[in-house]
Amino acid sequence: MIHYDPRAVHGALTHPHGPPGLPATMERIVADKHAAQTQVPWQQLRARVHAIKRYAVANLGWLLTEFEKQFSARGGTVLWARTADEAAAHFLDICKRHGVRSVVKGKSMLSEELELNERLATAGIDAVETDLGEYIVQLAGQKPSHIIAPALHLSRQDIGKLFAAKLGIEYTDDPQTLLAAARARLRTRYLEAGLGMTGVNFAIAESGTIVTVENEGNQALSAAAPPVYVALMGIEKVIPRLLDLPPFLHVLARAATGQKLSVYTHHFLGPEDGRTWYCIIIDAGRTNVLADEATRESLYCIRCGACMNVCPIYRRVGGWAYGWVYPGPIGSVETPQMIGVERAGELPFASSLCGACQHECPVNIDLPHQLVYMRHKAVQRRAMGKGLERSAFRFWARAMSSLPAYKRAVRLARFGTAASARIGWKPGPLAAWTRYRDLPPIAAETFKEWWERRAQS
Amino acid sequence: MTDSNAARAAILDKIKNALAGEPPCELPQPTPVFAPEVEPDRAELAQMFAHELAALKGETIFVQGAAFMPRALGVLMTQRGLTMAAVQNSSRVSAALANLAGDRFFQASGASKERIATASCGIIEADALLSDTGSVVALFKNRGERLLPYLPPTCIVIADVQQLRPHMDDGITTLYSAAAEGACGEGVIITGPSRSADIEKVLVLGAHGPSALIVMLSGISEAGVITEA
Repeated sequence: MIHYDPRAVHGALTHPHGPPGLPATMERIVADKHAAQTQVPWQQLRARVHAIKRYAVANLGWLLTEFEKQFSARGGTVLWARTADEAAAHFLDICKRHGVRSVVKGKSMLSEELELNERLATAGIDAVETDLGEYIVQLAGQKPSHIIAPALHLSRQDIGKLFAAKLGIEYTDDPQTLLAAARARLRTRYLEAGLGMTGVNFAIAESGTIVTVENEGNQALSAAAPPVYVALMGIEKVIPRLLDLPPFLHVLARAATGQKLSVYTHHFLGPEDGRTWYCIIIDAGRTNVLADEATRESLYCIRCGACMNVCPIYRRVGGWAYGWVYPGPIGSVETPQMIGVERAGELPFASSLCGACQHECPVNIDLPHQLVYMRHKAVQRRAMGKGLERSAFRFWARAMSSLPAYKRAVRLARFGTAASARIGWKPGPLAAWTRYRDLPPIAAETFKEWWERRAQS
Repeated sequence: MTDSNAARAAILDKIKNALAGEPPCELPQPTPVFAPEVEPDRAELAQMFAHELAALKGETIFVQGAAFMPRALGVLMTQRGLTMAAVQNSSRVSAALANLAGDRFFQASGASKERIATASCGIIEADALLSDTGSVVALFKNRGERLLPYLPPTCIVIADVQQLRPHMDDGITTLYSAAAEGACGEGVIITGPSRSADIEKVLVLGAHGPSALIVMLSGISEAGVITEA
């Protein structure tokens, strides 16, 4: 469910979330990434993973059924869900069937889509996030602000106060001590839980195996410690062969964190004796993205977060301002397609169209053109540009369509901006529009006027 | 009860309709990213592996040969105060444990997770080592052993220079084989000790897994000379 609220954007602009050093931190992530890219034939790898994803998406139906067949042959059970509600219902059924009262969760953005924690709590099942960042935001009663660094918006002092209040430890802002406190709490939970779950980075169709990557060990323990394991998988995660995996591993960690490889690359082969595995394959709006050829490429996303790290809008407003699970440029394309342009049509406008997102994307997704396309779609569906704004753009279109009209419009704008600067007042909608934007004065003469004057003198 | 079959049919139908008229698309050949090296220099690979692992705050100990491994392991455990080891059931690990008193280790296979969590170290064997990333490739086919690289605070890996591979592309063939043979459990590529940077991007070790990863590499002298062909 989208909780988009324009006030979140206004709040983020007035009081940016995150510690003061955040922009520098993000610069460092990008610098590390660029350094790591030089160790491999980066452009060659980008082209390869793009081509593999293109093939996988073009053959999605049979790759999913092949994965299902092979995963089942290994002893696992595959369940399908059209919506978040169906996926959550499957999950609750599994909990009920195995008498599960306690769940440990490895990091999964898909589980955020399902709002699984809230649904499990309603059913009386205690679920705990075990990725450190996710654990922090769960304790704080918040949502992640970045897909790979969920607590990016909190300072160490914020986390110190949170842990003191919620875990009853003495206040400290030392990351090592804070980590140790979380580790101790969560270790007990791993050992006691009846079910563990993770997301899926890649599902291999030919082998029916699941690959996840991480740095902490939260996915390892969530998948291996409890007797029941559930993998939540979006339909777009399937790739054809094991041999297609290395190029993705080469680019994923480099793009996400600047590492050559994540600390743990898990290849879950099949349930060991005495354990039960499920994989829930979830659509939840992805087939809407697939059906629109113009945005189909966004399903190639491997959720590295690189487009967010370089996006000037994301850097300014943070992840919450986007109102749903996937922020940044990729979220601005996918969210309106997945949950409806009518509900999230504003998101594609949260972009400067600078192109940095595509430049940094390890799968070379053409995000700028998709953002422009989604803007067009939002306007067509009248999800954007109501009343005065539509009139203003109609006026602008007319002014730009003929030279005399353009000259008149420039004179009018020159007068208007000069008058506005002098009296310091703007009418309602314009005042709102300029609250966070500059309205630069129109030059006293046009280039053509200047050129003619120069020629005469 | 949610109807998975109805959902399956509906999703596959939507996919089929969405892709109707889509022109055929060719799958790229799985050519290796890096050109395979015919005769890799083991000493160079070992040095590169140790260098990469050190950069990740892991540690490599060169051991002259497999015959010297039991003594080296005993010394390491004593020096680091590792009193109890949970171990993988493998011939390489068993050989390395030859000097260790029976009350200082137990087999993880069949042990409870609570017991494995109390061990001061886990001892596993490598299936391959990847030099360019300082990574260990390992396979675990039962539940207890799957927990070995994660639950104890120190992870010791027993390996041999013959297992060194230059790159991931030719180093994870054991995972391919295991998957093809229908093995259960988990194959994992371990690239350094467990870590997190979720608090202000400050790197801290030992998030949920071990804070220490030590690879004991036999077949190479301390000076970096290959001793076992």
